[in-house]
Amino acid sequence: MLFAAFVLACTSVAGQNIRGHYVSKADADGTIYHTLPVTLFENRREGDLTFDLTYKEGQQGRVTLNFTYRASQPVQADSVRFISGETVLAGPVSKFYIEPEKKLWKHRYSLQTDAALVRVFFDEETEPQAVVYSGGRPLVYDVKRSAWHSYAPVGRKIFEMIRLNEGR
Amino acid sequence: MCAALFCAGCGVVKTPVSGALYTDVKDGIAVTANAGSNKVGTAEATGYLGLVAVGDASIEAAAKEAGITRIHHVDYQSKSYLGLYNVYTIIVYGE
Repeated sequence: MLFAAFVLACTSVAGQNIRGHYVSKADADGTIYHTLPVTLFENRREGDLTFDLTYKEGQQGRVTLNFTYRASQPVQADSVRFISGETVLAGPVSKFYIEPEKKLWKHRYSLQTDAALVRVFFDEETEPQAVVYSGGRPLVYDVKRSAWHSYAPVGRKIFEMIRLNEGR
Repeated sequence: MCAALFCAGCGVVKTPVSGALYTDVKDGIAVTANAGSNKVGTAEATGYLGLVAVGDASIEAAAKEAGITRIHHVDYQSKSYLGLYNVYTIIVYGE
């Protein structure tokens, strides 16, 4: 009980601080930023969806959104939509791998999107949804509300920091 | 007796400096001669109560998560809560 309280205290302090949620490295051609993977979506019958974001300065404001989703059957995705209020991150996806993991199938894909959209995507007042499409058939992952409310301000702050540092 | 049992239950996580209560430290592992990086991949292993530890925090696993075939730089991050819950994350930069 005390240990749980201690971990909660540490993580809540860290939750208000973005430092533990991203890494960055300065390269000759611009700084690269990477948010550590976070699981904010789940489909109770299938599994969860985890994503991370990578942004490199000087690449026309493009962000790489890599995501992992688990499903009971292998599902070859062709596109994805991350919906948060009026903001939609969507497009065709490229595959890294599909492999079995215990009783489920683990899928790893990548989406290219826009940093300006990502910044407004992280709105804690919305109830986002992630939809993976395979041949027009949707596989819906709903948001984990408490996780979203904790993480959305962090995500927004990280991308606001990036915007300020790049001077856009 | 209680202290001995408590200490026996403590796990360790690789870190250049550690705190008995709380650790959150980043450090570097390697830099290669490959130029530039526009991809980042991570992988992690987790330890519970010093009794169970699971995960694949290999450089290969982290590179696979981002489709990296040319590694430029490798860092890691260690987190520990009272030595009872430990997380080791490897971070690979490359192309």
